[in-house]
Amino acid sequence: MHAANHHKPRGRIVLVLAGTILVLLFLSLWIGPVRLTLPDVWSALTGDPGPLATVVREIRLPRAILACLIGASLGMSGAALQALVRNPLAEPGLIGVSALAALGAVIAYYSGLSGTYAFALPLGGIIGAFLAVIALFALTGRGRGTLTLILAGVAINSLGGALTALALNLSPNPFAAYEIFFWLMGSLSNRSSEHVYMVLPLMLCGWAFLLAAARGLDTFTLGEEVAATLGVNIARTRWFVIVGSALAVGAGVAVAGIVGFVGLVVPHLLRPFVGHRPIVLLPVSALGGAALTLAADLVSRAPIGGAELKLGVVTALIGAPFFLFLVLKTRQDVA
Amino acid sequence: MRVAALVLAAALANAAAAAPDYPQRVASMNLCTDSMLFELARPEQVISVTTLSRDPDVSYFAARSRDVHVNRGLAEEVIELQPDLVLTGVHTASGANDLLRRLGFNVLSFEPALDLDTFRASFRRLAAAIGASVRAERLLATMDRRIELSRQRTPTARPTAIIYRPNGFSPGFRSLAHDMLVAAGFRNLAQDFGIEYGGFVPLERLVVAAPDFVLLDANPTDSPALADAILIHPALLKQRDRKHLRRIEIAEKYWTCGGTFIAEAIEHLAAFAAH
Repeated sequence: MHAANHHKPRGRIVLVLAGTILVLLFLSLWIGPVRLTLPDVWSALTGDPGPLATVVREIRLPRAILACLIGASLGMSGAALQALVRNPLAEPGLIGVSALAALGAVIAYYSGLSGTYAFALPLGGIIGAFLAVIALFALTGRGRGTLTLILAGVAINSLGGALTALALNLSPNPFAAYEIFFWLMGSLSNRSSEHVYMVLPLMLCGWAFLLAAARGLDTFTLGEEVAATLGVNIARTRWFVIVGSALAVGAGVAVAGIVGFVGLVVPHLLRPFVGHRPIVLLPVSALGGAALTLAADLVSRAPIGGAELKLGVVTALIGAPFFLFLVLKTRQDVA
Repeated sequence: MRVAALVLAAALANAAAAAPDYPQRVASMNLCTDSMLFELARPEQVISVTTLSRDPDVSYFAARSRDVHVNRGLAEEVIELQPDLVLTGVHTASGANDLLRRLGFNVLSFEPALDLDTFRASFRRLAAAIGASVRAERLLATMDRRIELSRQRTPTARPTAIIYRPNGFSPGFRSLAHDMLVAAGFRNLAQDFGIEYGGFVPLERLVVAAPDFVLLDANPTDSPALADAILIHPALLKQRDRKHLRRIEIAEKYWTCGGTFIAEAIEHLAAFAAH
């Protein structure tokens, strides 16, 4: 009876999230600079090739799929990192994982390496993300508290941003220097199916690592000693989270820049519905992240002042006040 | 002493014969004034141009500027050369404009060429200032004759074309590039989109409008930038495969700044329009 009560709302939230994603996916195919009618969208998806089919299949569909993949990666990584360091403010963007991923991707891209070897781009992002998680874990491991985590994040973020700007300035291409905005604020405009194929396998690997770590993470809330006595391989769980979030976040940042706050907002919004256990929270956060990022991408297409908004601008407008709220709440809890 | 005086007198007489009151030492601090100066001035009159002029992608006179002193558009670089005339753009180096005027330098500022007519006016104005009016008229007449010949071959049904630059930027109906397209016999799609000076055209709109030709920069740099990603997007390449859309590569050095050499680009493009 007790178990049944616990399962019902979980099932419902999964259904609600899946339904939301489907509706948002459809809107993503429908809305854009070229106005389409509903029959247009249908025939573009199912009918013969033509300009409208190209718009829907080659421009809007890859963009919507990428929004889902990146959002899911951020949501799941946020939930996993929060469980790993037992800190509600751990989020790929805030703690500098995305910043170093962007730096790695920028070096791989503007050096021309990814031109000859396409996978160098996500690989650069993954290496950057990996280094950031390792550094962060070394700096804040063994429960040194929220303040250390956030301050270490500030330091890694500033360093990552500065080095990214430096790398862009070193590029001989006159447009490169202006592209700092893309890397720091993220965007999905003009991404293509090539980017989907590039990141999909890497993200699937990352998700597999994170989900494999979920059962171990479940016991982390009890403290590492208790987890060890329960037979959980702590070192393995930790490495799985580090490798999994580096793969998922690194690949995403490499093709869309830094999209902040998704990994923070989503797990927090979903905990009241599904509880704290990572085994449930991780997959549900993936769905929530996908829905939030799709919605943010739709908002970013609204032509404000002529040009598209950056995706990270939209997520920050939602996420930053939320972060502030969490900081205040966390202080109250500590005090 | 007498020899020196004689040499000096001869030199002065020579200079006077060449050009009585015209500036002999002209420095330019803008890519487009560099270009006009190279077309109009005698080589020894040109004492400094911008570093951009040495870039063969954007400058028609890259080879010639290799032997000339270059500046980065900073006032101090030009001051030490003590020029009799400094050429600047009104929008670029505006700080330098004020500073040089305050220091008593003779500064001539030019608006960017918005179309062929404003180019002609700027060209004549510079020519008058450096004593090259005869040369200017000869160059303009040659340009106009070549453009007129291309225009006569314009097909009755004009094919549509759009210049698509990094980030999806397209010059609109008040641009030198527009005049170039029209003179070559095309209809500029950016005009149909209502773009005046220039603006961003989303890839979707370009795909749906399906122009006959897309003009891309002929000088893809070795160093990548996301700005170029839109130009190799599968949506654009797919359209091209189906022959809805042909790709012409044209170097931006022909149309970013006004120059009588734009006639070369117009002749080149007119061959595509006529087919």
